[in-house]
Amino acid sequence: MNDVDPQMLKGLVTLLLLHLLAESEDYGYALVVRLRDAGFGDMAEGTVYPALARLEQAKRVDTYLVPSDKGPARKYYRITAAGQLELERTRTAWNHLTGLVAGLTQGESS
Amino acid sequence: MTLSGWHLLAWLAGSILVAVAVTLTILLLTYRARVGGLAEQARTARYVFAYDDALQWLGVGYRERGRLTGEIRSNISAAAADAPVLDVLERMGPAKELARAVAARRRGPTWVVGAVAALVVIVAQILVTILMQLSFISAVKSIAAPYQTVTANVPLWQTFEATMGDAGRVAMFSTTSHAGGLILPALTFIIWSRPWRLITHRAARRASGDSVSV
Repeated sequence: MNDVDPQMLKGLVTLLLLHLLAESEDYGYALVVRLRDAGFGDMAEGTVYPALARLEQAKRVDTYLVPSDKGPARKYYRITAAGQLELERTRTAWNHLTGLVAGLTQGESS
Repeated sequence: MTLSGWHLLAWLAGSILVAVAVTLTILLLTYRARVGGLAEQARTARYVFAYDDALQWLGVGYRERGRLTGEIRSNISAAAADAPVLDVLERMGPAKELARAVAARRRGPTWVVGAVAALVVIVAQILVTILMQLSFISAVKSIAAPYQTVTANVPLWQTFEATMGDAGRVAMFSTTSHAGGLILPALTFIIWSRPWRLITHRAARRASGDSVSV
């Protein structure tokens, strides 16, 4: 994933975060780690945290605090029903887009 | 310089040092995260303080700022277990930019704050007016002759008129308010409610729309 344009990743951050949260509830830094483990090493905290804040503001996710013995309480995020709908919508749109791009670029290369 | 002068200087320098030390300790305790050594804690505290400060400038409320800074501190603590604090802070980017991105959708006008500020100014104006009236009446009593009318004008704001009766009493007193008195409350309302954010708020909403749609 090292060659991926960060601007391109920024456009996908909502989809990726909603997908991860649909899998399991988590807190900010743990989501960064999960993205990194999935190969999105270029996804910095400075991109993920604002995206989480926007999702919360848009009520796509809600939050709760869990006490931590390693510092301040951790803010966990969980996906809402509206978030699930948004995830489905963006996933469909993304699949459609990648299909279009693949059709075009593979058509050119053959 | 006399001995007492040196004492005064030493006392002043000592006071400043103590004040600086107390302030730094409070900042450190308020904004630190559990990230190892004192130097790392100081770096984190400086970052979180800058983040909090930027959020404040962007108009994010006190409680919301508390939640956001708490979350950042918690994330830094967690991240510091995997990487050096310097790397963690670098990956988060400048505190101001992070705050701007987080607050992008929160920067609406603060109408209530504006209204409260304007109300405070109006109450202050009323108190000042009462004091001015009392001073005016007192002055009129001491200098005016019986049945003489005295007028005082505070430009754009108030005009007082008093007519003396006999036995050193004011027979008639009137106050006329001018529309100019509304300038200060109106300006206060505009400055504190920040209506220009209607423009930047909409622009930020458009800019932060990151969903995929084809």
